[in-house]
Amino acid sequence: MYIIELIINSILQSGPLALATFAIVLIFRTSFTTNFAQGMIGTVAAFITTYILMPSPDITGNVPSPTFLTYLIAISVGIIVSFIISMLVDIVIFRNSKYITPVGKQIVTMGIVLIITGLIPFFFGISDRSLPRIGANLEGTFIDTILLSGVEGLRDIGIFVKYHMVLGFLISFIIIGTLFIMLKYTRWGLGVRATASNENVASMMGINTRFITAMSWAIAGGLGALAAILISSNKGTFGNVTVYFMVAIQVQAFFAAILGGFSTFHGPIIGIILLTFFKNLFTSYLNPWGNTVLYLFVLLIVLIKPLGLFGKKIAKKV
Amino acid sequence: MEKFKLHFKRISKHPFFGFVLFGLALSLIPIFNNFLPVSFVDSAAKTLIYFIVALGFALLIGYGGLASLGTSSFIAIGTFAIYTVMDLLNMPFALAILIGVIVALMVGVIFGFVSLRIEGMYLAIVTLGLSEIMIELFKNFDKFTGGVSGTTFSSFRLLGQSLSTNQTFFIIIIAVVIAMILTYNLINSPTGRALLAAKNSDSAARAMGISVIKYRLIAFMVSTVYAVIGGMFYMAYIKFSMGSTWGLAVSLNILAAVVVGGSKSIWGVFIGTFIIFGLDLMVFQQIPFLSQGAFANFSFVISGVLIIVVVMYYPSGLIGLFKKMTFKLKNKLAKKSKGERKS
Repeated sequence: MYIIELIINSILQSGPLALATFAIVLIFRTSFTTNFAQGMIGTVAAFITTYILMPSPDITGNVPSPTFLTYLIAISVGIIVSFIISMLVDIVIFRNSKYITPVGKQIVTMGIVLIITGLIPFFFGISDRSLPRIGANLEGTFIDTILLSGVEGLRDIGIFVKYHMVLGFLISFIIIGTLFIMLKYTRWGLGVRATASNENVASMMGINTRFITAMSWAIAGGLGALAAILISSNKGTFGNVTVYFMVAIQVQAFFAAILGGFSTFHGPIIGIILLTFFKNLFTSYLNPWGNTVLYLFVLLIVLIKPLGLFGKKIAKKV
Repeated sequence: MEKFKLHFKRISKHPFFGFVLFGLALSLIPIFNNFLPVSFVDSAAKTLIYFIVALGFALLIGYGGLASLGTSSFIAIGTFAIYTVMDLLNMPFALAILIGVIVALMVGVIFGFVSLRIEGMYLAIVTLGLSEIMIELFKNFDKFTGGVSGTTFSSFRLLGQSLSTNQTFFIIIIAVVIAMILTYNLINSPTGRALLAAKNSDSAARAMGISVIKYRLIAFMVSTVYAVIGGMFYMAYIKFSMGSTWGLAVSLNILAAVVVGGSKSIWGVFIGTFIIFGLDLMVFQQIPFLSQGAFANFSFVISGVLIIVVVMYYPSGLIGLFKKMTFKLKNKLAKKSKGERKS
């Protein structure tokens, strides 16, 4: 029974993480670089959301309790700002530097991490901020009834899950599902797949690769923002938004992408579910060595399968 | 006299002459220690220590074309290795260097080999994971690292004598000069050329019989060893180290120093280190308005903007920009004098 609970909770937990992973893979496929600023851009969104809910942070332990509508507006503003920042990164920086190497692109994203780290205390103050749990204000709506019955139904058979985690998972599931459908059936999705396989040929075939890349960056920024908000909500309530809180998440997302293989979209998603499961397993049995064993374990798998569990070998012409 | 002049001219052409002269100039700081503010001397020492680390990193980024985010973890390994060996075990400094280097090489091989086997770009991801693990390990190994509250180093001993802060400064200057000479030699050796070939074209290098992974791993190993040695001098001089301070920000600032100054030139790396660390420690941290509260991390913004501008417009760094400017100036002067002669 314990192992079933662990599996279910791991899957629930991996929902928001999958958003961050998907964002990283999306940028990797369209811009051929790993975006280290992903987490930081998401952190900005979390900070903006808390700022709208409570402009000056309360250090005594009070957490804002917004209504559903204000919370939704605050989250949307945060996501939109991240969406724009991320898009600007592509339009302003990468579009103007055509001959930059992949490692050069990585370095640029690291520079963005530094800029955001320096600017956050400037705009939002130096104390940690609090983001209320999602779903704390849904009482009486039909979503609440469905969720509550689900949570209680599981509790009756002896599996304990948390309400806000189920909600976070559902939101992530819907969004990732939509994105996969978009990848498969829309013009944008076709463009992304074409750009990912060969950027030059795609642009010759009449695909506006500039637009595709910019939109991918923007969507990745928005996904990172939503991931940051959901994860901070999963973490707790008081003081859950700090400058560096997404760094650990980003490491997990990167390792999940390595584990699943960067060359497919579904691989990393399965990777993050496996990674979260093993993380929970290792941290409950091998504390305080959980994370160390986990990452070494991933490296061991990558040593055996260098392209990841679901990676495909892409032959390159010299 | 004439003979002596000729001899001097020959020596001054030698590439190491500049490094030794630089070391002699630096040694003015500890000599005139009493006339300088303490904060200035301390920040100069810190800048020099980071310069050692940055030299190793320059080899990785400028010649290997690889980025790593684990630099700060290796500095931390150095600080805790010297603390464990010299303070807890009461052993000499040489053993501390040996143990630190062995630990760093072991960790580096595990993470470097796995990631470099796939692609150069993966090194940054894997070393980011390494720095996450390390911060946790430093917390748990509290016997060697002091856990959350950090450790204080009692005194730096060399050949059985404990050195004062000022004497340690001299040792650091000697180490800097040695590091510069070693880096120069490495850059101009077959290893450096092989690295450069692999950086410019992976496939072409492989076709010429260069084992790309081997040389990339060597570059990564060298950068980790430099970082560990830098960490040891940090502990010897600053005498305090805490696991949680060695996070992502330090690694990123070292990266910024190397990229901004110019990763292919030793003097470029010095200029970069001076701009990123020196100016921050000597000037910005001394102004109370900028060193506290909301502006405390403002230097990060400057570093970040500099990185992006340099990568976008001046790939050879500030030193490349200087060289270009002096070249243009010389050309202009030459043209002018030519024109004058004609008329």
